Amino acid sequence: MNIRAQVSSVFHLDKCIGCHTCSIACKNLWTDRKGAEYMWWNNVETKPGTGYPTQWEDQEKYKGGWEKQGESLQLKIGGRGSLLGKIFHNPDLPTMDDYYEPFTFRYGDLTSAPAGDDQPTARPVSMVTGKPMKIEAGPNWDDDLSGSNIYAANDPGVVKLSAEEQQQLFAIEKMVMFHMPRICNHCLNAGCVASCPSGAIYKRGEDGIVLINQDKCRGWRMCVSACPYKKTYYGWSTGKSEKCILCYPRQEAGEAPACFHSCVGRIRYLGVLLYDADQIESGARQDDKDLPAAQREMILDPFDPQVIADAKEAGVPNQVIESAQRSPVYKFVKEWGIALPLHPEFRTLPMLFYVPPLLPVMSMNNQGKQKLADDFFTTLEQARLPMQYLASLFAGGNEEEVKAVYRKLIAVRIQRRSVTVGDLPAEEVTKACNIAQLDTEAIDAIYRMTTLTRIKERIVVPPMLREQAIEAGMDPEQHKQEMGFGKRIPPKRRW
Amino acid sequence: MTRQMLNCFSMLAVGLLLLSTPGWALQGDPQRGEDLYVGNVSFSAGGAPCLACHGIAGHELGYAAGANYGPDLTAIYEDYGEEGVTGVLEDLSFESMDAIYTERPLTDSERADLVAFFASVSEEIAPSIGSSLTLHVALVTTFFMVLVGVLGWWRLKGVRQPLVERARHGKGGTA
Ligand code: SF4
Ligand code: SF4
Repeated sequence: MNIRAQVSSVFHLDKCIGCHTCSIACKNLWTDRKGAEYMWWNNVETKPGTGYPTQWEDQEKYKGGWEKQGESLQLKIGGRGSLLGKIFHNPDLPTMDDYYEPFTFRYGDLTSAPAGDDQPTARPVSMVTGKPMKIEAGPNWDDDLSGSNIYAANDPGVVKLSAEEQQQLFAIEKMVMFHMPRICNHCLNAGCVASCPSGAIYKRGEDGIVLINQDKCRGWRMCVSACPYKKTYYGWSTGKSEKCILCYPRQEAGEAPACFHSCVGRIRYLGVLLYDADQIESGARQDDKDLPAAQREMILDPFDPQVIADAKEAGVPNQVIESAQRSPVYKFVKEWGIALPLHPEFRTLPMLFYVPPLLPVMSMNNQGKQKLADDFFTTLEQARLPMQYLASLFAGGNEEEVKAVYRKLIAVRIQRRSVTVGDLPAEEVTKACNIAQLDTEAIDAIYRMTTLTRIKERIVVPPMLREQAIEAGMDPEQHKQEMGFGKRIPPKRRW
Repeated sequence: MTRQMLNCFSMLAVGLLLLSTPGWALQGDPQRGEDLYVGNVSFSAGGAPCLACHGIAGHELGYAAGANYGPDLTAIYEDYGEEGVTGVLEDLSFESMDAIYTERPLTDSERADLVAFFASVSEEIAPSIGSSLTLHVALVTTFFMVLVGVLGWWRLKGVRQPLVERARHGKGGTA
């Protein structure tokens, strides 16, 4: 048992309205500068769709994440030797076109154009070359257009479906889509960390945030290939790679990360999880279908006295344990079991979990008639999104995982309907609870957490205890005085 | 004891005298001259070996014989003769040589050795070193071009553009 703390998150996809406020908040704060124009540490994709960069989920192309080779794990871009072999010509990088060519408009022309018969226009110009360009792609291209024959049809998840399932999706394509916001998952078994030849990427010991040391990065860009989520980006003017920092400076000041704070749909939950680092290796080696369960297994109950004792032993401060007890993420992932990791089969053990979208399926389906609990569950297969599609997104292909979540989400809906509309017989509600294996309190808690909570309950930023982290390395008083001066040195806490 | 020492001294003195006589020094050693030229033996004052700038096309010196900062020296002995060559090495009448050797002059014996070496190579005919060099350079260049090409071929060459093109062509085909 080697207990560590990890700041983790849950995104509730049924609540995301695809407004991109999160992306803009992040861009304004961190990547609004030269060489970083194309970076979206937070981006929102439409699913089905190819995402950003195009088809990032297709690791046959991008070679991200881990592969099982016999009993051991290896990065898909190759082991140390092969990485060294291609250190000067990393062949597995997305091209600019796969991200998109960043552009702006010549707004000045609107006011400075000489008088004439035509309305002045602001032409689009490339932010790379400065020349006028034709805009052909963007980080959210095809947004809300899930029927498109280029982007939706080439979603790696859709391509994998059987012809029949694709048919099903196509027949109803005009109605079905959902938004999927993505940030760095701050993985437990991060591909980016493992691939870096300079050892510049590290996972902070105290909170698990994965960072790139800008002093040590040499711009080899192996992390860009090795991250299966394509969440490290190469900064063209600094010559260093950058990634989402989970707004650690904001968190250290007790604030929520900018994308969480600004989220209009209030879909984002944040909190500390205690996990057993000794299980990382064995957990990441499970079969695809068992990965979500293995990951849940690693997450420990912060109320268990034994876990608390072990955590203290491992140096997790009291305040962090208390914060873990208030963590909404623990509830979603472990207690209620309604949040799943995105693409667990990449084996990086991502620590951002998603509540899969149920969509307003049933009420439409029923044409106003109330279906009984039995029917709800048996019609699951005819849900608007094929189960196989969702399972390939959130469960390594294991449909049972997704179905289990759906049963619970539907049970919540049935109970709420019974409470608010009052047109369902009580035994139906009980039946739904039994099938979903949830008790009424849990359902109420899920309902409350999903709809009524305020920001402090949704986003439980742990005390970052910087003074303690600093104290471990130097005299805090000296740190305070010398902060910002002198030579910067690489951090010692790496693992 | 003292006799032996005396003998020794006298022999040393005679030797020194012999060495310092100009008449003797003129008999340079072409082999040593070559070593000095190539740099196998360095000049006593530390000047750069001649080969750093001058080639001798006919002599087996590998690609280094193509050194071309200064003119090729195959025919220098033929053209200028012993005195001419010694004169140049002594007066340093060329600016670029001046810069190198004024501070680090050659000794008389080094000059003589070089002259002897030049004399020995003056007969040699320059073979077509240029063509084999060109061939080798061409081969190496091609190898690198192919390598770069292959590595480029293995690269991920764009994902989005092919999707768009396929969709467009697919449409064109069925319509
Ligand atoms: S999601 Fe984040 S932590 Fe995970 S591999 Fe990618 S960059 Fe690294
Ligand atoms: S701000 Fe929230 S609701 Fe809006 S796109 Fe981002 S995650 Fe979705």
